Amino acid sequence: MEASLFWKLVRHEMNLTGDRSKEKKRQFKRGWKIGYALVMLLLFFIGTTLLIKTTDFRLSNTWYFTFGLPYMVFFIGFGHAKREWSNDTLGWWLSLPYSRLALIGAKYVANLIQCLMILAAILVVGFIYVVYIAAITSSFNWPMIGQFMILGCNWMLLIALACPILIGLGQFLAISQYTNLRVITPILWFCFMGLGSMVYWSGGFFESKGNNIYIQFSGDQSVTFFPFSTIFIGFIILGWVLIYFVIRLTAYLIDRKLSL
Amino acid sequence: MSTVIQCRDVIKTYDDKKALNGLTLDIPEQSIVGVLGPNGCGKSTFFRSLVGLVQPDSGVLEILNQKPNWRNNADIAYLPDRARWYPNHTVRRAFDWAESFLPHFIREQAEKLADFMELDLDLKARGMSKGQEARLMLILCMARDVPVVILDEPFSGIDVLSREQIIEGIIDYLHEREQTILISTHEIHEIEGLFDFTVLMDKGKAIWTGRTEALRAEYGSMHQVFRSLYKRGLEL
Amino acid sequence: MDERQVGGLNFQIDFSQPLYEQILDQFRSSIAKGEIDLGEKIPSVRELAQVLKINPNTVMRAYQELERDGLTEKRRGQGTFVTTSQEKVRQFRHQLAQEYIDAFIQHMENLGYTWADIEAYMKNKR
Repeated sequence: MEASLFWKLVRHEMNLTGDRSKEKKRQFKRGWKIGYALVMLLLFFIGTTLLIKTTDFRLSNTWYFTFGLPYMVFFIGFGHAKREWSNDTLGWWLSLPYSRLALIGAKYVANLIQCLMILAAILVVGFIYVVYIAAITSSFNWPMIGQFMILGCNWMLLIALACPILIGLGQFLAISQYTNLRVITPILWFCFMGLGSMVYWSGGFFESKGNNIYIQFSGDQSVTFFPFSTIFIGFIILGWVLIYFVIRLTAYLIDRKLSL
Repeated sequence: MSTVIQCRDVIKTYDDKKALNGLTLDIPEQSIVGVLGPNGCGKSTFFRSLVGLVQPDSGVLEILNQKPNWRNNADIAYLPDRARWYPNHTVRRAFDWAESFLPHFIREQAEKLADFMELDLDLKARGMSKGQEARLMLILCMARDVPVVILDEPFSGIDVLSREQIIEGIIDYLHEREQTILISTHEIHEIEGLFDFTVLMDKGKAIWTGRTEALRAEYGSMHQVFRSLYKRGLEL
Repeated sequence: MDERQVGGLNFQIDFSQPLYEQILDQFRSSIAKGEIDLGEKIPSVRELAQVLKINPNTVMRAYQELERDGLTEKRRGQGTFVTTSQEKVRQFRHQLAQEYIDAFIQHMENLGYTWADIEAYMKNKR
């Protein structure tokens, strides 16, 4: 397959919006969606302003709001693959004359780009937010802004490094329920969700002992850039290697083991 | 005349249900083939296995002299059963998509057909009626210059007007090309005049295969054959 | 039985009989009876297929047969026309008459009638 064609596939996947199965439940027009997001953002700004002014809420605690991001990444991978089924477009998708690895790979790459864009956008919003907070409160200063952003960068970096793994697992889980593997899908759910909690609670990922992302967000410690341990990097690289085989397995499943 | 599709004792089992139960048939090239039978007779499983979406448990299956595989699909236009189109695409964008990803897709042909079947290029799939969506998907298949076109239930759930437009579109198009076209349907009344080859399926088997004119001479209208045959579960 | 009109011609299509023969027979008899004038244009393959909702190949085969009979001729870029030759139509009527009589005699003989019996029947009929 030519590279240009692959990127066309990636572009197609990135532009895929709309899920027919969900359309009946909530019928938002596009304008409404944007308005809704803006209102939520505004409420978030007002809410955190109040929290900081009236309670001992710390600036770094704000990152707790993004605690669900790893799950979101997982479900982007999951939902995107599942959408071919829920939109009844799988017949078109699967009868394309391209290798199954290219088909699943295009989804994977598209999701990866989307997730990284979301993470970058969150950092931008985070920066606007911290500057705004600093402006309205007298107790905040530039070093605190720096601390806040380093913390945010660390957190986004952690998720970004985990993205390739999370998306691959999400795709695999979504596809597996439509193949001969569907009998073990519940077990896979259990394993993957358990694996997810490691991201939060595993202190071994950080260089300093007794540390994890939860403690980092509490604001009890000063933060440094890239505090991750070699063990963490080792796990990530191992994860990337493993996920390559998971993607190949997913491609094999849609090639030979579909249960339609 | 050479054959384009060959099946020998093809079996496909789902859990404990046999979707294909020893399907054996030969389909000659450059004919319009009606694959007829009641719901659940194995038509869709047969078509899916032709494009490699389903792997038979046993038996021999060949299309264009090859075992079905994704590479072969470059030469096959396939309309999946109960398919929908990507909801955020307009007709024009669907044509862009087809131009990028479906080999031998001829855009002018598609636009001509869209005009003929009264389909607005700016219409979005999300806002389409079932009939409009069906016409769009049919055009995506018919505007391809490939030796085999497989249409799985192109008429199900479609209003009479759309159905007539589709049939007229097929007739119009048939006049210009030399292809093998497989059409599965369980509503044969308006379309039976189109078929020059017929496969009657029941319970995962082909119970009659041959020239439609021979079927007519022997048993009468397909519509009648169909009704009496499947009501009684008769073996020919 | 479906009845449809194409360019002033009435077609009856019965899906329980082979379609090719029906089209051929209806054209033959229309020309023989003079329902279609000499030199008149007949519907295009596509037009007839569209109206009758049948396979264009079937129509094409029937048209080829008509051409072989000498009843129609193709003119480049213009379509298919009924022959302008009175002689050809006359010949065909003659041929048709022969066929009907042969068939009739065959039927009668199958019933065990002799030639004399047939003659007597014919006289009575008149």
